[in-house]
Amino acid sequence: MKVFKAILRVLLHLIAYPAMVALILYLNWDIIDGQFVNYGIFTLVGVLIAAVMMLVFYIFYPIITRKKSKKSKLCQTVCVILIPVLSLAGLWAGCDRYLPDFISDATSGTISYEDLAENNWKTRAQVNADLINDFIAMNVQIGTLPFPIGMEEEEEVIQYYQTVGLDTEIEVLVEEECPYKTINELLAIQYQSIDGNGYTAFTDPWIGFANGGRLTIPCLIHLILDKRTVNPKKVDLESPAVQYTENDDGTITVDQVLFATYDEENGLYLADWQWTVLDMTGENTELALGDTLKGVKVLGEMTIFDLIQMVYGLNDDLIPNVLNDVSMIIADEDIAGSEIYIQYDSETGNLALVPANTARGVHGYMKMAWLDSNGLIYALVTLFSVRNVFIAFAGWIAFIMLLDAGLRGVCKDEKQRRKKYLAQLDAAVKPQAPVEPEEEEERVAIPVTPAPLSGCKVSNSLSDIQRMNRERIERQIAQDPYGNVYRGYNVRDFYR
Amino acid sequence: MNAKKAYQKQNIFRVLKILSYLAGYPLCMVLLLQAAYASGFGTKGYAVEILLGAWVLVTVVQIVMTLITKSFSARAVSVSLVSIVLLLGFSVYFDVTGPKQLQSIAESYVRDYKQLGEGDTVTLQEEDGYYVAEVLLEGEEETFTVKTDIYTYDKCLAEIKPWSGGGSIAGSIGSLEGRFCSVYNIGGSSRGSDNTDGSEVGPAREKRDGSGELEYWFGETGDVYSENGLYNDAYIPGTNQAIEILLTIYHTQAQYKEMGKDADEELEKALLEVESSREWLDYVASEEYQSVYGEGGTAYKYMLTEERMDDLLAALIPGIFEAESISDLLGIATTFSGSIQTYVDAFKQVKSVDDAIAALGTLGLSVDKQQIMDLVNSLAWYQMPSVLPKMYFIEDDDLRTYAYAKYYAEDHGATVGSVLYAEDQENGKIGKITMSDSGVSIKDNAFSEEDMYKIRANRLYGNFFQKMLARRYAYYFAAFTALAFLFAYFFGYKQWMNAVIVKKAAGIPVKR
Repeated sequence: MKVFKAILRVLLHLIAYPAMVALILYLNWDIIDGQFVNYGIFTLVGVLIAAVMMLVFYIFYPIITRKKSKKSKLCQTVCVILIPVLSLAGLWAGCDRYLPDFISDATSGTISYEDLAENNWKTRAQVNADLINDFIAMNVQIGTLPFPIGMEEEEEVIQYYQTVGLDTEIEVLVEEECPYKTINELLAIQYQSIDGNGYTAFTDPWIGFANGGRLTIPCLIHLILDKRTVNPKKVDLESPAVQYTENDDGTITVDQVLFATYDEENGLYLADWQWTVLDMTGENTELALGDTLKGVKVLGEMTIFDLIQMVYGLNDDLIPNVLNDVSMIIADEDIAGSEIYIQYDSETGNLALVPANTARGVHGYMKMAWLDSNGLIYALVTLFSVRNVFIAFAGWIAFIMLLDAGLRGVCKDEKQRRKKYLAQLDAAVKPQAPVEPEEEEERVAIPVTPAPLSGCKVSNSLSDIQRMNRERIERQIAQDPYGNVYRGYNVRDFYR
Repeated sequence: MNAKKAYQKQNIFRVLKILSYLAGYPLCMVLLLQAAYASGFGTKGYAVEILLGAWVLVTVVQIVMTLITKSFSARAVSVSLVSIVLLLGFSVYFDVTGPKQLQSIAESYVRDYKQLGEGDTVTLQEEDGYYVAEVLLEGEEETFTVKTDIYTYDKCLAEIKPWSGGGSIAGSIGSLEGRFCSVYNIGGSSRGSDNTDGSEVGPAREKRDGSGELEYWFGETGDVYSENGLYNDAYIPGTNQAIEILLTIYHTQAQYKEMGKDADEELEKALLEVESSREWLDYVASEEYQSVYGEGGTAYKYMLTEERMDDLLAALIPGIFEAESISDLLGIATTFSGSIQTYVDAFKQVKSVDDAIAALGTLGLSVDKQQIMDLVNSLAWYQMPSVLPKMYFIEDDDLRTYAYAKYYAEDHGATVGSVLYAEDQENGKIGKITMSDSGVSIKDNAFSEEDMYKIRANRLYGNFFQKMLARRYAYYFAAFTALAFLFAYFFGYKQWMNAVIVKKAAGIPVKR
């Protein structure tokens, strides 16, 4: 029976904490499998927290339930149950209260608590996996991640870089003496450029307006015309991509923040690129001009739209070529400083301004900032992956520990304690047959173990009358081992 | 008493004591939290805070009573009394002040909407659950009636359902403001405190005339003003400011219309007068102005100046005409009309604004440099935060305030993407006008004065409905909590009594 109980207890324990850790490992497996190579320990945060919780429990469990413990088994069980309840459910009760504000502050409002809570962490994990995979794909396509020797298919190369690991030195990059040897180094250079030379170099409040859906014409003009300054504190001065001058007064002026690029003539190199505000949003800006183009007549009844359609009919490459050339002209340093591609929808007549992000192999600013902190975001994602499991397992483990307590003999123990305690009462109130003086002394001398009763306090500030009363009653008790004195007795008499 | 029985009773009374306590404030809080959550007030709302505050106070009283007396009955009675006084006191106080608050909202609405003076009398009556005002203008004998949308107190009470709260009524009141914010692309509260030139933003300063008055328009909320008394560059008005700006525009226009004049024409005249006024000319000649807008002034860093236009054209035009695809396009165009080649030749030479004016002349378009720069400035003028705007020097107070209102509604609004007003009442657009959004029609969406006064009145409700929810639960639980405390102390006393008997009988020393 003892062996059976022991086996049963082991099984119960296995379906408590170990099962929880296993479940969290299972839920996080896709992230660990796909991103451990890139973000290492950050992808294990959820599993590690679960493991730490298990460790904490199994450190305290043997201490609390040790045989020498003075606590009753019932009391031990309550303590044991408190550990999962407080550490699992309690942890998330606190997190649910304070994490929303913290996450919002830490990510400048770009990621909210709702984006991660419940099962949204899975979506977020996918978004971030896509971000890095797309970044790699874009850079393979534009040549900043060259084809390794022996690979010719683009898909194959993309897959190679997506699995090689962000911090792994890439042979072909080392051989070509690139300014970056790993994907992470490339990412750092590109992010530094879009951040230091882009987002933080734009003047406030205009960049905030542009990113907050308030890109008006005056706002755009400010972002194009206002002089930009690179803040030395926003760039890594040790980076090969940053060129700076130390002034006589000790201050630093950043001259250039270079950007990794590739062309057939020069191969891989660092160049000075300017960014436009559209590159910061990384999204197309639709200009709903269709109605205007269809409404303005230029030649008799012919509208601008008709004219464009006619040109399309004559040469369908011409309009796209014109728009392409215009974007090259705009890229002049004296105009926008960077290409802004113009897309024309020949059906509706609408135009869209397309940023140069994809052509340069980078996402918009916000996504690049996420990518730069992807490790921390994965830590956050995997932390949220334990939320529901912790909350559910807090109750489950409490239940398991109750069963475990049953097997540890908590009921039997309670019964015995009660019995023992009542026996003490019996001994105290039982009538004693012919009372010999020695026996009387012996009876009085029975060692009494204080029972863990609580909740009652007797005042120590008694008046003289109360003290006299109490002493009188105590004398009566001593003279009346049958306990008859209690009949009709009111405890308030103590203090009367 | 049998000591064994006492031991059993002790445990029973302990459980009963805990259950009794839980039936008081804890149960009240659980039900209130559920109602507050279901009503959309949120669990961190005012209703929860009120009852939580009462609970904390009662707990403090419990602790104090425990320290000063050992008598269970004294503790029970005092704690129950305090609880009743707190809960009933709040409820009764709210019942007394609640109707007054609603009447004050209704009166404020009527006075605001009808522009009543202090001497005018407003008498409120209840009609079908709403307040109706009888208005008697000063010096007149006949009254007129104004119906309001403000619920009477009894109707409000009826709308707050026992277990679901008043979320729907509060929501319906808030929806008008929600639509207002959506149309004008603003938030409930104003925000933004940043200037392009990095200059300081702060509270309104004293007027430069030494009168000691503050230099601000349309409400001062937080550190929002530039040195010149204008809202800072990043400022996006909130509901209150937007309403104030719009009402100023509507009222000034109506006021001038009554006089048979047009407010916009009068404003234009006033600005022309300013341009020739001694004050303005002196100011323009001052170092303060010249260092900013004079030759090489600091403002031009943020503006599209003629020099920058020249640079732009010099970079743009050759690029355009050198591009192969554009040459092809022009080749096609010349097949339609030979004269196009003349225009092309003229524009190929453009390297400056002057060249552009000459080239436009070949198209038969007669424009001068001022017209071009006016057009450019309408899009790219930067009002430096340290320099007083021209409208500051308008002498007529009403017109000056009108000028500021129009500036915020149109110019500043267009810059930050929250256009509040458009002069073209037929085809004008308001709200979110950006590179990719074209706003909404002013004709179909602009808020009427009446609606804006309603929003203003609705904002006076504040936490009224949350207090009302708290009131309902305070009434319910005033007796319950008192009873719960009495029972809890009674059972506590019985538990203690049995504990003493048991311990004495078992020979266990009783803690003193």
